[in-house]
Amino acid sequence: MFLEVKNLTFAFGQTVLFENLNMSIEAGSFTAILGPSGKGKTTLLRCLAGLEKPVSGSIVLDGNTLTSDEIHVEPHARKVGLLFQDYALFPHMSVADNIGYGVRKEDKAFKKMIVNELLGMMDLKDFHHRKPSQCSGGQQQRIAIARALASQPKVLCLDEPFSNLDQELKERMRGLMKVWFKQKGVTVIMVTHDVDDAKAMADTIVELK
Amino acid sequence: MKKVATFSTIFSTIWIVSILFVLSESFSRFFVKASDTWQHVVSVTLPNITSSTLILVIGTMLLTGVLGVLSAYFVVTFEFKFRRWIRFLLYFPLAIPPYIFAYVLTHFLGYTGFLQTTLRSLGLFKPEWFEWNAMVLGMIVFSMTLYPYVYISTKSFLERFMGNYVETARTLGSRSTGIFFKIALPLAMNAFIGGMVLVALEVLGDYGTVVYLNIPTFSIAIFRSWFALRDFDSALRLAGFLLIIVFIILIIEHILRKNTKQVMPANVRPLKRKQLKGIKHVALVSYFILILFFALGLPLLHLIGWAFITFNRIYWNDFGSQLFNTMFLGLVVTSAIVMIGFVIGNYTRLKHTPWSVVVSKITLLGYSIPGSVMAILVLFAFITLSQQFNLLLTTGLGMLMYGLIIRYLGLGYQNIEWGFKKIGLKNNEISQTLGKTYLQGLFQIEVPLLKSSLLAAFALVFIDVIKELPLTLNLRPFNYHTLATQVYRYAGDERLFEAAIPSLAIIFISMVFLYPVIASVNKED
Repeated sequence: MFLEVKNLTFAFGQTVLFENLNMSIEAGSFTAILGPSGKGKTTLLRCLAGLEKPVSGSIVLDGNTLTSDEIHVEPHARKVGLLFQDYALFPHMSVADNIGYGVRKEDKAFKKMIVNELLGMMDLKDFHHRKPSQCSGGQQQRIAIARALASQPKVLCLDEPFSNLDQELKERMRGLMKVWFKQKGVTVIMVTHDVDDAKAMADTIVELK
Repeated sequence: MKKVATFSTIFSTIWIVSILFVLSESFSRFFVKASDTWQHVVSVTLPNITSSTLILVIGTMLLTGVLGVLSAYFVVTFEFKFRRWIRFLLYFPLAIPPYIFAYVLTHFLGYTGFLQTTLRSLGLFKPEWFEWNAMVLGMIVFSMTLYPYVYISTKSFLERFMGNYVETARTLGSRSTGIFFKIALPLAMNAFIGGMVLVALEVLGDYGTVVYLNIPTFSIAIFRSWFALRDFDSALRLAGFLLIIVFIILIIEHILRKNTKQVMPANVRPLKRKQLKGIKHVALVSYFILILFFALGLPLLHLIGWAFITFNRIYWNDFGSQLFNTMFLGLVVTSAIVMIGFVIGNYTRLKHTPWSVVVSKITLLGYSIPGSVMAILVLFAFITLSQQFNLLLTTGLGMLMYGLIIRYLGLGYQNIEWGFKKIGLKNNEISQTLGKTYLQGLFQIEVPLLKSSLLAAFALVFIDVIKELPLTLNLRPFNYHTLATQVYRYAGDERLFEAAIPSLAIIFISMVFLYPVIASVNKED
């Protein structure tokens, strides 16, 4: 399996969010994790990204152990992208700079090429010089996805990606995202509380109880 | 990230231990046998200075509170002529050190001053009108120069949250007075208390004003014991007493602010200001013109006039070196404070442990400690170190800088901590998931986002350092003069006119540094 989560347990002090969680995900698949609020969906994504340390258990990605009782690979070295619910775009950078920030190679020409490709793919070319605050909600989400894709992650985690969008935009984005992720061959894990989102997007649905 | 956290932890711990070591100098005195003169100090000096210090602090707080809150309320709720200018100018008295205002005010009210001269020439002079009590003068001086602390905190709060409630109160039939007492004042109480405590601490820490007006306060008693009587034991004990007063004020503040904390709405609705007309309009504009005239116009006009008179009388070479010393001291101390504040701020946001809370509180505490107390504590801490480790540590620039850094670190840290709170950890987290290290995220993403907080910290600390008197006076190297110590020296020699040019230089530099901070606060509000 491409991503293997074994016996993962996470607790805040005395409060256990999830215990002995197991999950296997294939490369290039789209997995939706469904569950009500407070069940630790976001925390699970943060554990995958390396932003939280679980109490026990292991995470293995593409044969490399990212988390175990002895190992904790730092977030920057994991190649696990995370799309926050509120996108967390850097407000002082332009759209192009936000996307370019994700490119791991420092080579300028390469960076420019990737940014232009993603701007074109996300239909953001006319907005490349704008600041995130000058963009609409849908555009902001596209910038955040482009930025995440620019870093060429092995796994991309999406935290409730449609919660800030209206119904019409949400339906349009669902279609576009499916195309983009297939095109880039990215393995995606999305957490949501919306069954429709999960059904519309995912190859596999995991329910967090 | 682990390395950054470890470095921050070690650095913050060493720093805090050094502060605690300095503070312990004061309280350790209570456990050793007192000097012979201490009994005299306890029976004669202590009751006198305690009562006059408290009267001065309470009187100033009352006056400052009224001026600050009323000005903030009027600016936020009413529309009147020159409002935009007045709202902006009301901040600027912060750039005028109280001791300089005291020199100007006493001259203005004195025999050769403008007021008496004019009244005499009009035949309206009555000597009893000018028998001002030093205590009252002190309260006026402090209120005129310190009211911006209350104005800023209260105005920012009211400007953000009044809109949500005032219109509701108006539709329920409340009039302006009712809204002020029943809505504005209770809502802004928390911010108001914060501003008032700052005022109280400034008054307790002052030396230049009280020594000029001859008001017997703790600062004066500490310095007299130290320099005139050479009774270091009593000076340290008095410093300990003053610290106890400061701690009591901080505890009261903590309790009051805890009890007046409100849960504020997330959505801020801007307030539609009420247009004033007729006599009320004239009265309000006159009120502001009067405040601005006394707090800003009076000192500036006097100082500019005196500067013209003494332009050829002052030693410009000396002025140059004083200016250089002031800027050098200010820049070095302020840069160190911003750097230390940044490391500690980063530590306290990463680590949520009881020790990080202690680090945060002790860092903030320095700003509450009066300059006179800090001076004596730093000196004795260095003496203790010299004796323990057989070192030769004397008063010098290093000691002065260390004292200034502990004293003003709280002010810088407060701004930086607020900046870190505002941006949260999310930006760095996202940067890490994009392949950047914690440090790359910190410097490439978070530092640009913290720019306004860092600049505010830099400007506010710099202004305070260049105005500072008691620490600089007592810990500076021999024959080392800054603009502030030179102003103090001229005033001590009764050469007030000569004090004008260095005073104007302090005010001008302070205003230049204050301007971007005010502009950014105004923009945010």
